[in-house]
Amino acid sequence: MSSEARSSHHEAIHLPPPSIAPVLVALGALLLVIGFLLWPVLPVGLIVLLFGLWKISRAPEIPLERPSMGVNSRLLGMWVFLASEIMFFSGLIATFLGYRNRADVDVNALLNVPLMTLGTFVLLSSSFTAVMALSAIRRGKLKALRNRLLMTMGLGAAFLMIELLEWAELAGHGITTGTLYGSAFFTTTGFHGMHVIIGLVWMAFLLFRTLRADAAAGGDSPLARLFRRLANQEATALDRPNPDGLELFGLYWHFVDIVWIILFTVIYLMV
Amino acid sequence: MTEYTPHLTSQAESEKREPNYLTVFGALALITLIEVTVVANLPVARVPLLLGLSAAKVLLVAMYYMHLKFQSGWFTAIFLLPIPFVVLVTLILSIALAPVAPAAGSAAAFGVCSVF
Repeated sequence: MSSEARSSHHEAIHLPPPSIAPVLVALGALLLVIGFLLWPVLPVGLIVLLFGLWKISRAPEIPLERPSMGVNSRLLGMWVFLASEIMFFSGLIATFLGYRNRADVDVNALLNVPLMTLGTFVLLSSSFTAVMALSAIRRGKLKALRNRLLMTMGLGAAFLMIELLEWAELAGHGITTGTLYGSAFFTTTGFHGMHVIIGLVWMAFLLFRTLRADAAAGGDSPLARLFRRLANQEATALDRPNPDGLELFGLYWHFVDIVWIILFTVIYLMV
Repeated sequence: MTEYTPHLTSQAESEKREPNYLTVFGALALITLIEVTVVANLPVARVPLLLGLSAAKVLLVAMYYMHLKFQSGWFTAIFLLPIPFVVLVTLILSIALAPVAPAAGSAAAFGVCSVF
């Protein structure tokens, strides 16, 4: 099949052209996880992952204007993924509930409820700014989109800092992964924190696309000028930001928020 | 920064579809405040109230921020599908992992513990 015929074939069934990028991202993620155990592998995984993400960022997003079977297929895929995540976190939370009374010391007195209440407000705020970013992209406001994505990233990073402070405080009191309570606590909150980190990487990716779209559309901000000089791009329809991508990210980010709402209640309030 | 024409919806359409996100955020913040300052210090019925308020927050986020209220019922069904599994896993693990006092521990409870 010639490349032109292949391209029209993919256009007809609304598929993106074949790409190695998803395989690279998956491989990079695998190497990254292995890298946590074998440190020399870590930079390799990071490089492969970033290269894969960079390649994906250059591919056009497929708009969802023509959903199959009356259901938006990308949203459907994300909801199925989130359903599997619900089952994953339910296992962790149930294990925590089983081990919560197995600590040698009075852990409840050591938990910093005011600090994590602040963390909860920070994460709730990040959900609000994320949904406002979606609102901005739907209205075609690139500046508001950029600012709200940056705010969401900042709030997500602030939540991680707060969580790390809490971890350090508990570790200082002898609650470590060597205890039953500690292993259940750090595994549950750690996996949640890992989801926040993945969300931050995803946001950085969306921000990159936003800045590139601004550059391609002739934006006059310093970053847009820098992007234009680096990439020497012309504006194309593919460079327009697509609300669908942000909506998928939003679903993930709000889910991370939901998990924290439950964790905060179970760990910090039901003591 | 520049403006551009969005892919899918016109401004009027998207404004019509969007709930008031600020009100939702205000409700979430208020419930959290009530949870931390009032309900967490109640001498009775603390756990059911906390679980109820948490469920209310989860519903607010899912319905308005994740737009379940405005989208296909299939998505709501998929979101609710794992709930029986969640209840089952929580029950099984709570029983299996709960500390069992040697004198009061029944043979059945010991059996469940040893399986896990």
